[in-house]
Amino acid sequence: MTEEMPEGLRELVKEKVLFCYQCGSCVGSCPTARAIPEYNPRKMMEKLILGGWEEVLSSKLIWLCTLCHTCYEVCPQGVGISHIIIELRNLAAERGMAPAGFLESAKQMAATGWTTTLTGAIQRTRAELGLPEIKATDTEEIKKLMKATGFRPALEAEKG
Amino acid sequence: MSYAFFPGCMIPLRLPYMENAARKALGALEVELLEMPNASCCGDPIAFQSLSKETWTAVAARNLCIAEEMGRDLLTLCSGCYETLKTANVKLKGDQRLREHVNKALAEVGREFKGTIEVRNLLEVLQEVGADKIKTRIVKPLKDLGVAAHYGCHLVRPSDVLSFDDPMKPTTLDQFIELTGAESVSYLKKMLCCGAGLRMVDAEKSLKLVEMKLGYVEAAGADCMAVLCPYCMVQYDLTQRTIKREGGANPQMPVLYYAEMLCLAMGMSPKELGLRLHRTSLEPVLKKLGLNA
Amino acid sequence: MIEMSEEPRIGVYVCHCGLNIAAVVNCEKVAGEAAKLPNVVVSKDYRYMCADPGQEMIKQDIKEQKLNRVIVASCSPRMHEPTFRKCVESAGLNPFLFEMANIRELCSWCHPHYAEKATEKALDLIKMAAAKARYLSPLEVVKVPVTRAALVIGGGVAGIHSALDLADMGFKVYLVERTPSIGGKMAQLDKTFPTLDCSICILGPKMVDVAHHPNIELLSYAEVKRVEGYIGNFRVTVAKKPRYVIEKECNGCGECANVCPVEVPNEFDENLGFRKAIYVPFPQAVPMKYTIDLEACIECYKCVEACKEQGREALNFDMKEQEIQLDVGTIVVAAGYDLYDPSKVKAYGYGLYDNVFTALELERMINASGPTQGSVIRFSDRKTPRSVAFITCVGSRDEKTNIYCSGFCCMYTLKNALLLREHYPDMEIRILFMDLRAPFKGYEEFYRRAREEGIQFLRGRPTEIYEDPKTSNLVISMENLSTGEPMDLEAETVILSPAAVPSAGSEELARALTVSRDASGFFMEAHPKLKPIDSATDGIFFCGAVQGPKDIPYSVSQGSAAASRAARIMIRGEWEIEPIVAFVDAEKCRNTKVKCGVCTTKCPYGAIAADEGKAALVNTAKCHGCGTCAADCPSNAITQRHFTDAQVLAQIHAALEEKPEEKIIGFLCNWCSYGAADLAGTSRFEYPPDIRVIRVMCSGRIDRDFVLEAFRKGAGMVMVSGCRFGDCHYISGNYNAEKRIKPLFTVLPRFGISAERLRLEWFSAAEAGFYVNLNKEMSETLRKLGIERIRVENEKARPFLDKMLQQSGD
Repeated sequence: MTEEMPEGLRELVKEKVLFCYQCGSCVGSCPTARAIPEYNPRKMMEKLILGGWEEVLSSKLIWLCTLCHTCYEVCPQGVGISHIIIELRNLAAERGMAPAGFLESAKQMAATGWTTTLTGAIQRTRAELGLPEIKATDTEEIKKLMKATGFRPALEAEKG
Repeated sequence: MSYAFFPGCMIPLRLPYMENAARKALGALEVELLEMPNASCCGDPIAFQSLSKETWTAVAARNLCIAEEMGRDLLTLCSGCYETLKTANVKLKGDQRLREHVNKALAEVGREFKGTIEVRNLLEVLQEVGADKIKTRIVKPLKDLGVAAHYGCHLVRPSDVLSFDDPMKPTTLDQFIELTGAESVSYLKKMLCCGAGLRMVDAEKSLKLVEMKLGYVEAAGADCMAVLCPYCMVQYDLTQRTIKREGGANPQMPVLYYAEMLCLAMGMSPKELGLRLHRTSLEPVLKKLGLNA
Repeated sequence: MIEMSEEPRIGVYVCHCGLNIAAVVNCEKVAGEAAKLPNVVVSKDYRYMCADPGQEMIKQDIKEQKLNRVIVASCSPRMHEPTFRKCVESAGLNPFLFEMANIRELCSWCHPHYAEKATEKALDLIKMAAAKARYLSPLEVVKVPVTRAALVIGGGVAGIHSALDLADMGFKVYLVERTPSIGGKMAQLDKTFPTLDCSICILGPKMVDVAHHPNIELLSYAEVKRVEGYIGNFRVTVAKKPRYVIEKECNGCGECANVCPVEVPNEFDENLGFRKAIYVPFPQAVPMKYTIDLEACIECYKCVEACKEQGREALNFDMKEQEIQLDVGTIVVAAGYDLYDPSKVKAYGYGLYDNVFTALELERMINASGPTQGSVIRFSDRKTPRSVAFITCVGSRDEKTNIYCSGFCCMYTLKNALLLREHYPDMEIRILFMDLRAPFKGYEEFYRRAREEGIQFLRGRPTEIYEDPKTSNLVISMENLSTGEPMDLEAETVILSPAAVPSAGSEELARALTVSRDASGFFMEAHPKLKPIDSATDGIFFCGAVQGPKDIPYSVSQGSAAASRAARIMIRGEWEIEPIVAFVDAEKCRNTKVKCGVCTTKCPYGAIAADEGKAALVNTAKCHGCGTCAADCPSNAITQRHFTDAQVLAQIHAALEEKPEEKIIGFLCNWCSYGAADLAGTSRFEYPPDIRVIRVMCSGRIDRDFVLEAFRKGAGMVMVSGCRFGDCHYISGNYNAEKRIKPLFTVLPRFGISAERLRLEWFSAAEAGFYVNLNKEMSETLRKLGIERIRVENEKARPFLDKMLQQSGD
C-alpha cells in the first residue's frame, strides 16, 4: 500500500465493509457475475478489507456492476456493495479513470440537458403520434450545477 | 389528480411510443399531466451517479425543484428516473446537512429544494386511480394472454429508499397485469436484471443477460414480456435481432410496455399506440388478441 | 461494635484494579488529593481492593483508625457493593455506612484517551461519594420470611427439570404452562442431537414424573397475569383458561374426540395435520386431559353424549376463566422460544411455494406419529422428494432480521439431514451453510457422521429461491464459496432452518415480572458471565431458551441451576431486604392539616397510606424503594433512606465545586440507565468525560429541586434518565419522573437557561450505544454553548432559583 486510503472510502470501509463475513450472498444474486466469470464482488470487498484498495480502484471490474442493487438488499451484514462500488467509481472518475462511454454521457448532459441525442426522425415520429414537440432545455443551469459541485468531467468539457 | 410529468430523456427521445401509451392511458383515467418547464435528464442513475454522486443529487434536486414550484407530485415513467429522483427526494428530506450542501449549489441557479412533493412511478399513480375505476374502463380484456412480468431493478431497489413493493418478490405489476385480463406467468429468475447497466462497458456480456432472461420466459410458455422501464425495453425489444441462436434463428419474444397493455385493454388500437415502432414484432400477441396491426 | 462518634471519619480506598483503572486514572494522585478532603482520615490506593489483602486493609483501618465511613473507589456498585458491605460489616461497621465511587465502568474504561480529565473526574466522583457519606446513617436490614414455594413459568424441558429438582429438594412447586400440555418444543421433535435419541421417549418419563410428584402442582392451560411483592414474598395471579372439560372427571379416553365432527389445523403438527375441536395436543400429553377449542367448536354436544356413554360427565360448557392467587418465594422463568417466521424472508418463498418447509415441519413429517405417519412428502404432488436442500441461518446473523446466531440450528440441520438419510438411503441431501457451528461434546463427531453418510455440504448463502412452474422444484441461487462461482441449485424440496426468537408474550411477561429484556428481546441475566441465571430482580431466575437460544443439554443444565439459585433463597426461611425505603417526616406532612395524599396516588405498590387528619405512613415491607413519593411530595416531607435529599444535594454540590460550567450532572436510575452506563464501560465505548453521575434507584426519585439545584450551583448541563416506558423496575416511576421534569423545559428558559441544557431520556440497560451517543451529543452542546454563555445564563437564573429553592424548604 503506497497511498493512504481517501477519507470518504476509509469511512465507508470502517462503517460498512469491515463487517463482511464473506458469505457470498452478493455473488449468488449478481447478474454480472453470471455473465462474466472474473467478476466477484465478494472478492472485491475482501481486497478492500485487506488493504488492496488501489488495485480495486484502478481495475476495470468496478465498472462492470449493473447497479441492480440486489447485493444491497440481500447482504446480511449491511455492507451494501453496490453503494461501495459507486463510491469507488466516483474516486476513480476523480482520478481520470472513468470509461469513455460514461464521460460521453456526461458531456452530452452538459451540452443538451439529456444523455441521449434528439434526432429529426424522432421529432417526426412524435408528431405522428400526436405528442408535443420537445423543447430545448436550459443547459446553463446544468453546467453551473456541475461546476458548483466540483464535477471534474464538466471542467474537462469546458477545456475541450 | 394531476402530476408534474417527468418522462425523462430515454422515453421521449428514443421510445416515444412509451410516452404515447402512458399519456393515453392516464388521459383515459382522467389523470392530468403537466409539463415541467426546463426539466432535464434526471441525472442518470448509472453513468452520472458513477461519476459523481454529489452532482447527480444536485441535478436531480433541480428537477424536483421544478415540480415543487408547480406544487405537484412528480410522476416519472422511467424506473431509472424513479430511483434517481426518489432517492434524491428522500435523502434531501431526511438529511439536513446534505440538504444545506445541495441547496448551496442550487442557489447558484436560483433554486432551493424545500421537500414539499413526492415522487411517483406509473404503478403508484394507477394505484391511486384505483383498480375499481380502471376496471370500468376495460372493454377488451386481454384474455388468454400469458405475460411474463419484468419489474426491473430500479423500481424496487434499494428498498430502504424507494419503499415501493418488496425488493425480491414484488407483486404490484403482476396484479396490474391480471387487472387487464391477462395472466401473469410464473417463470424462473423473474428478478434477473436486464443488464442495461453493463451495456456501456461490455455490450456482448450484457446481451448474455438478455439471452438468459428470454430463455426462462420462453421455458415458462409466456406469450410476451411486460416491462416498466425504457432501459429494459431497449435491452429486450431492440436487441433480439442481434441474438443468433443455433440454426441462425433469432428469439421472437414480444415486449410490451405495461401502459400499452392497459391501452389495448381499454380498447385503443395498435395503430394509435404506434405498436409497429417496436423492433421485435408484436404480431403474435396482436393475433392472439384478435387485433390488426 | 464501633462507637458512633459525631464526626464522620472517612476512609478512602482507591483501587487500581490491576491496570483497568490505573492505566488511565492516576490512582496515587487521586488518593493523595482525597486525603485532603474534610473528614477523610485515611486515603490509600491499592491494586485490588476486592481481593483478600485489600479487604483486610479496610477492616484493619476501621478498627485502628476508628473509621465510621468507608469509600471504595473502584468498579460499579452493581458489581461489588455487596462484597464491600460484607467486608465492613465483618469489621463491626454498619454496612450502610459504606459508599462506592465508580471510577472504572464510569471512568477509566470509557475515557481511555483522557487520562488527565479522567483523573480529575475520578477525584470528583470520590468527592461526591464523600459528600454523600457524611450524611449516611446506619441502617438495619429488614428480614423477611421466605415462602418455601416456587413458581416455574413454562413446562418445556428446562422448566420441567427445574421443577423436578426443586420438588425433589422438598419445595412446593407450581408449574404454570400456557398450552394444554407440558413438553414444549422438545415434545415436537423426532430425535435429538448428537445421540439421535427419540425425543419424546426421553422427555415423556420426565413429564410423567412431573404429573406424579407430590410436591408439584401443575397448572396447565394457564398464564401468569400479574406478579406483586418481592423476593421471598411474591403474590402471583394466574389466569387458568377454561378447558370446558372438568380435569378431575376426564380420564383421557378420547371418545369425545372420536365423535367430534370438527377438524382444524393442529398446532402441534405445525399446522400440517388436523386435530378435532376437542383434543389433546399429542398422545403423551401431560396432563392427559382433553381441551375444547371453543372457537372451532360448533357446540353440537356430541362429545357430551359420548362422555356419558362412558359413564362420565366430564364436560362443562359453562366454565369461565379462573383467577388463582399463588404465594411463592421465588420464580423461575422457563418460557422458551418461538421459531422465526421465514415467510418474512420473501426471497425464499416460504408460504408461497409448495415445497419449502421449516425444520420443525420436517420433524413433524418424519415423526412416526406425525401428520404424514413418518413420510416426508412434497405438498405439490404428495411424493417423497429425491433431492432436498437445507438452508441454514434463516433469519439469523442478519442485520435486517436478527443479528445473533441462534446457536443450535447447525446441529438440528445435521440431525434432520441424518434422519432423512436414515429413512431414504438414495435421497440427494445437501446442506447450504455459511459456517458450521458444532462446538460441544460429541457435536463435531456428529458433523463427521453426516459427511460419512454422504450428505453434501456446500458453503454459501442462498439469496433467491424460485419455483419451476412445471415441476414445483425449487431453483436456488448462491455462490459456491469453495469454487468462487455463482451457481443455481435445483432441489425437489427445501428445508429452512429458522432463527430462534423470543416467545410470543415475552413483552407482557417481562413487564409483569419487572425484568429487563436484552436488545434481541430475550430475558436479560443480571451479569453475562457471573450471574447468567439470575435476573436483576431479586428472587427471579431464568433457564432455558427464554434467556437466549440454546440446545437441550444447556437448557437442562440451566434448569437445574435455576433450581439451585432458587433453593438457596428458600432454604433459609428468611431473607434480608435492603432497607432503602421511604419514610415520612410526620411534622412536615401536610395531610395532618389539609387533605393531601399525593404520595398514595404515586406509589405503585400501595405501600403508603394517608389516613384523614394523620401523617402519611410507609409500610416498610411493601415499599420497594423507588423514591417516587419522596420526589412528588408537595411538602418535601418524604425522603428515601440511603438516598435522602441531603445526600443527593451533597453530591450535586461536591460535583460542582470546581468548574461547574464544564460539567454535566447525570441522574441515572440503578436498573436501566446506570446499567447502560456500566455496559458502555464494560464494552469499552469511549465518550468525553464531562458527566458526573448521581445514582438513584429509580428515575421516580429525581426531584425537580435536584435539577434546579444543579443549575443553581452552575452546572453546564443536566441529564435526567431512566428506563423506557413500560420497563420501569418500579412500574411507574419513570412516568412520574417525565410528568415532573418535562415542565422544566418551558420553565427554565423563562429564567434564562436554554432548554437544550436539560436532557430527559429513557433507555434500557442494554442500550450502551444510546448512552454513549447521548453523552457525545451533550458534550458537543456544552462546547457549542461555551463556558461564557453558560456563566451568563447561570448568573441571570440564580436569583430566581435561589428564591424557588428557598420556598421549597431546603
